[in-house]
Amino acid sequence: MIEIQHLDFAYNGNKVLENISMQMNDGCIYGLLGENGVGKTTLLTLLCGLKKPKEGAIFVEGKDPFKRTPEQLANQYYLPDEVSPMAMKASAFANEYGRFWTGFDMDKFNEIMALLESDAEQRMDRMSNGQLKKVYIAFALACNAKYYYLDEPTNGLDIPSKALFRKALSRYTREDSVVVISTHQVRDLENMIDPIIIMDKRDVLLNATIAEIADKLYFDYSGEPVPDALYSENAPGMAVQVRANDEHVESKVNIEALFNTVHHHKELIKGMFNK
Amino acid sequence: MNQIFNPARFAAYLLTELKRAAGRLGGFWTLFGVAVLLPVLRVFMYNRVYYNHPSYEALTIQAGLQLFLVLIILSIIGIAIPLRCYGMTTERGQGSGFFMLPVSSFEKTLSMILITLVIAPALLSGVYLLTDSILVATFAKGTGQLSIAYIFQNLYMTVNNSSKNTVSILKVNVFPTVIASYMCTALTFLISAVIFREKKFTFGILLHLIGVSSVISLLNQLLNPDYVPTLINRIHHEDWVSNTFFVCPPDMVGTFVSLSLKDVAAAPIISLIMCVALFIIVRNKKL
Repeated sequence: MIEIQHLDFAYNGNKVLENISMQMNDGCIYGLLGENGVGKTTLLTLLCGLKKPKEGAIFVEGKDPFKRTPEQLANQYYLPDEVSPMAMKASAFANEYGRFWTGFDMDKFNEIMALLESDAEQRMDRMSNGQLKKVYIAFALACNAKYYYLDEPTNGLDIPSKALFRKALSRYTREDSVVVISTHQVRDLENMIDPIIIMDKRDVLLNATIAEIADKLYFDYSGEPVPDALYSENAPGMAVQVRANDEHVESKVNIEALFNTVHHHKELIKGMFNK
Repeated sequence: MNQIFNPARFAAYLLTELKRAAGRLGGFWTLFGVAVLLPVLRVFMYNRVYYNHPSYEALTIQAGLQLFLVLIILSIIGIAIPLRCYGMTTERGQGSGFFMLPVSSFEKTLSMILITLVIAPALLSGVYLLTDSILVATFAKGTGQLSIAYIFQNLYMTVNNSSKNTVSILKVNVFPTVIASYMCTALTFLISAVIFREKKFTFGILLHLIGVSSVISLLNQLLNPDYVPTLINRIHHEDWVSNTFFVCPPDMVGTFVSLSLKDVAAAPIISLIMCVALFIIVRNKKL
C-alpha cells in the first residue's frame, strides 16, 4: 500500500504539487491523468524515490521510498517515458540486470518478449523507440515487482503493440501489485485503469474507482440532447454526454469525457466525490 | 538482505558496471595502445630531418617526453572515464536506470570509485605498458631504459642552486604525485558528472581549478608551515632553477633529495573527502 500525506513539491520555488494526500491500495492499476505539466511524472518519481518531497511524506509499505534501499528497489520498477538503449542484445541486458531483482524470471522475460512480438536476440542499440519500449516493458514485468510506476508506457508503441501491452500487463502482474500509469493516451488503457486519478495544477481533482465514478456520473451515448449535461461531445461516431447520476443508473465510463468533465467543473466534481 | 553492503551483490554489480564502462570507453583502448608510439615517431622524424638517418639511440633521452605524455593521457582518462561512464546519471532515462537498480548507494559509489580510480586506469595502463614493452623489446634490445616502468622508477631532475652555485639531483616522486593528481582530477570530474546536468566538462574544469586546487594548496600550507610543499614550490623556495627530467643511470653520483610523504599528503586527503562527498551526492541525488 502507498500512502501520501500532505505532499508538497516545487521546482525552484515553483510549486507543482501542494498538500496532496491519498492512498493507493494493493491489487489496483491506477491511471494518472492530467494536462501537460501538472506534475504526473513528478508524482511518479516521488513515489519511486527519485525525488524527495519538500513537505509531507510518502510511505510505500510504511517506508520512505527516497531511502532507496536494495530491498525497496527490488520490489518496484520505474519505467520512464524516455528509455535508452544499451549496447547489447535484449536477452543479454535482461540476464545482466535482471539478477538484481530478486523476483526476476528470465523465462517470463522471454515469454513476454514473444507475446509482444519482439526479438530478444536483437541488439538494443539497433532498435526503434517502440521496440526498445517493449524490451523495457517485458523486463519490468519479468521483475515480478509489487510496485510499478509506468510513465507513458504506450508512447511509441504501434496499435497492435498497445493491445499486446494491455494483455501482458493484465497477465503478468502480481495479484497484489500496485501499478501506477501516467498517460495521455487514455483510450489505450481505458478498460484497464481503475481507479482513476485526475490531476490539476498542484492538486488532485479526482481519485475514484470506476464504480464510484459510474455511481455519481451518467455517461449518455444516445446522441439525444441532455439539458443538464455537464459535458457533451458530438464528434462523428462519438457522441457522449455526461451528467450527474442522481438516479444511480448504470453506464459505461468514458475516460476522455470524464477527463473533460472534471476539467470543466473542477470544484463541482471535487465536491461530488469528496462527500 | 544487507541494505548497505552485500559482497555477492557488490561483486555482481561491479562486474556489470565494468562491462558497461568497457563498452563506453571503446576508443580509449586503441588510443592508449597508440599513444606510446608518439615519442618514437617524434624521434624518428627528428632524426630523419636533421641527421637523415632513422636512429633509435636518441630514444633514451625521451624520459621527460614519455612522462609528459603519460601525464597528459592520465588527465584525459581522468576526465573521460567519469564523464563518459557516469555522465548519464543526470539523464531521466539512463539516470533512473542507474538509481533504481536494486543496489545500495554505498555499493554504487564504491563501484564508481573503484572503476574510475583503480580498475579502468589500471587496465588502460596495462594496454599502454604492453605496447611500451613490445617497443622496448624491439628497439632497446633488452636494456629496459626506454620502458615507461623503468622511467617511473628512475626519474630524476637536475637542479641548479644559483645562489650557492651548486648542482643537486632531485629525485622526483613520480608515482605518488601522479597517482594523487589523477585521483583528484578523476574525483572532481566524477562529482561534476553526477551533479551537473549540462556542461559537465566546463564545470569540472572550474571545480578543479577554483575549488579542488585551491583547497589542496591551502591544505599544503597547513601541513607544511615552512611552505615547501610541492616540487615547484621547493624549487622556488630553494632558489633552484630546474633542468629537464632525465633517467638516472645506476652508477650516477650526486646530492639526492627526495620529497617527503608530507609533501604529497594533501591530494590524498582531499581525494578521501571527495569520495565521502560523492557518496553523499549519490545517496541524495534527485532526478
